[in-house]
Amino acid sequence: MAKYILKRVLWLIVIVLAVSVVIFSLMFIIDGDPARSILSVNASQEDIDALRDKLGLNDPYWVQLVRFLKQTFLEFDIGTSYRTRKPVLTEIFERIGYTLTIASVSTFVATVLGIYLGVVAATNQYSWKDNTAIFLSLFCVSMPEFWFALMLVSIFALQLGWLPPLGIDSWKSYILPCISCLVGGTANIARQTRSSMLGEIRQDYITTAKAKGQTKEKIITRHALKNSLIPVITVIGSLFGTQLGGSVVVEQIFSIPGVGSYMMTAIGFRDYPAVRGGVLVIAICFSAVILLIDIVYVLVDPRFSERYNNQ
Amino acid sequence: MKTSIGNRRKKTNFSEILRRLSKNKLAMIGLVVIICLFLMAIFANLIIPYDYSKQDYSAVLQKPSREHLFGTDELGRDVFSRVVYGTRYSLRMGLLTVAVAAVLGTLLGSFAGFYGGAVDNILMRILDIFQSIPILVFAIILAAALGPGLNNAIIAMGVSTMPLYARLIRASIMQEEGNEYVEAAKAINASDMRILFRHVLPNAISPMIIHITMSIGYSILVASTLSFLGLGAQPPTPEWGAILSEGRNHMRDHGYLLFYPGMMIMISVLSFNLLGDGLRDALDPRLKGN
Repeated sequence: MAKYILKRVLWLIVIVLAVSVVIFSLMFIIDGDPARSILSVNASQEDIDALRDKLGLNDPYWVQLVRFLKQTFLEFDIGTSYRTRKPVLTEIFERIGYTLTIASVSTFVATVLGIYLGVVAATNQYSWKDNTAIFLSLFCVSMPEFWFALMLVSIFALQLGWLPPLGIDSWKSYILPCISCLVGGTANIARQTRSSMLGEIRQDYITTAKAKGQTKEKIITRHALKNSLIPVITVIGSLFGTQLGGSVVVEQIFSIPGVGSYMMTAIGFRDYPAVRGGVLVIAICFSAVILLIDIVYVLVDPRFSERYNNQ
Repeated sequence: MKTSIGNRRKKTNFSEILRRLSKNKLAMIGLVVIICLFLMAIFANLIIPYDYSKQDYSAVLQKPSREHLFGTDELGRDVFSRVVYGTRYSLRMGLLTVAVAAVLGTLLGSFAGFYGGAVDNILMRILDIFQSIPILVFAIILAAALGPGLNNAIIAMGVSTMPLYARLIRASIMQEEGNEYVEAAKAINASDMRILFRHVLPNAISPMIIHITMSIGYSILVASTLSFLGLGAQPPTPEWGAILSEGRNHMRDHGYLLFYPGMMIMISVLSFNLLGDGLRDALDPRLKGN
C-alpha cells in the first residue's frame, strides 16, 4: 500500500513537471506580445524591444524553458505578473480559496445528492420517481453551465433580489455559483449510480440477501450500494476536475476573484507568468484530488488491494 | 460464399440494433429533433425572415413580437434569424470536434492497445499528462494559444477531449487481441497495419460509436462555452455561445436575448444525449429490462 502511494506521488511530480513544459510551450506559441500589452498602444518599437529584452522574451525557446523550470521548481517562484507586477504565487494564494471552495462544495453536494437520486431511481426502476430522475438528469447534463448561471442571476438576483448577483461578500454569494456548478455533476453522478446500482441489484448475492429475509433498506445500503459505489468513486475525481474547469466560467459570470477569472484576464493580457501559474495550480489541485480518490478506491475495494499486495 | 454469409450476419445484427433503437421512444424523439436541426441548418437561408447580420437601428432591443419572434438585439438584429442561422455553426463545431477527437484518439489508442509494452506505456503516460489539466481549462489554453476563431476552437476541443477516445479504443482493442482471428491473421503473415486496421479495429469500434454520439452533445456544450468566453466563434458570427455572450450586457431588462439561444443549445445537446443513451441500450441490451 505504502509502495503504491509512494509510486503515485513520485508520478505526480513527473506530471507536474511535464504539465509545466506543455503550458510553457503553449504560451510560447501564443499570438501577441506581452510587451505591447504592458506598454501603451503607441509605445515606440525601441521601448518594446527593450522591455522584451528585460523580460527575457527575446531568448530562444530552450533558454526560456530552462530558466522557467529552474525558477519554478528550484526556487519555487512562478514569476511576477506582467499586469499587476506582483508575484504570481502570492496572487494565486489570495485567490485559490474562492476557486477551491466553489469546486469542493459543488463536488461534495453533487456527490451526495447524485448518489441519493441514483439510488432512488434504481430501486424504483420504471416508476415515476425513476422517470423524473432520469429526465431531470438528462436535462441537467444537457444544459450549458454558463447559461444556467446567467438564468439564475437573472431570476434570483436581478428579478427577485434574493441573492447578490456579483462578487463575494458573504456566504450568500456562494449559493448561486455553487448551484450553477453542481447541477451537471449531480446529474452525472445520479446517472452513473443508477446504472451501476441496476447492475448490482441483479447479482446473486442480492437474491441471497432477500432469501434470508433481509429488509429492503439493509439490502440497499449494506449490499448493493457498497458495491455499486466503486465505479462511482472514480467519477468523483473527474467531477472535481470538471468543477475546477467550470469555476473558470462561473467566476467570470459572477465576478469572483478566483484563479479562473485571474487566468482569463491574464490570457487576454498575454500575461504569461500568471497563465502558467494558474494552470499549474489547477493541474496540481486536480491531480492531487485524483490521487486521493485512487487511494480511497484501493482502500474501499478489497479486490484491488488484494491484487496489489500479491504482486 | 464466405462473403455472402459475412454480409448476412452483419445485416441481421445491424437491423436488430435498429429495431431495438426504434422501440426506444426517447431516442426516437432525439433523432427527430436532430434531423430537424440538420434541416434547419441546411435551409437556414430559406427559414430566416431577416439577414442575420442586418442591423436596424430603428428596432433596437425589441421584445419578442410577431415581426421579431425572439426580439432584436442591441444592434437591431433579428434574434430569431441569428439563432436559426447559428445552428450551422454550433452543429459544425460539435460534429467536427468529435471528428478530430475520434480520429486522433483512435489512432493513438489503437497503436497503444495493439503494440502494448513500451509504446503503450509511453502513449498512456503522455495522455496522463494531458488529462491532469481539466478538459475545459486545457481547451481554453489551447484555444488561446492557437488564437480565437471557429477552426482553432475545434482543434483545441478535439485535442483536449482526445484522451477519452484513445483510452476507450485502447481498452477494446486489448480485449479483441486475444481472439483467434487475430492469431489467424498473424499466421498468414498479414502486416501489423493490416491486422490492426482491417481486422481488429472494425471489431473494437462499437463502444466508440456510443461514445461519439454521446460526445457530440458535450462538444456543442464546450464549443458554446468557448465562444461565450470569446475564444471560439467571433462576433458577428451567430454561434449560440457568441450570441449569449453579446446578450449578456442586457441581461437585466432583456432576458429573452439569453433565453432562446440557451434553449437551443440545451435542446440540441439533449437530443444527442437521448439518441446516445438509446444507442447504448440498443447495442448493450444487458443493461435493459429485468
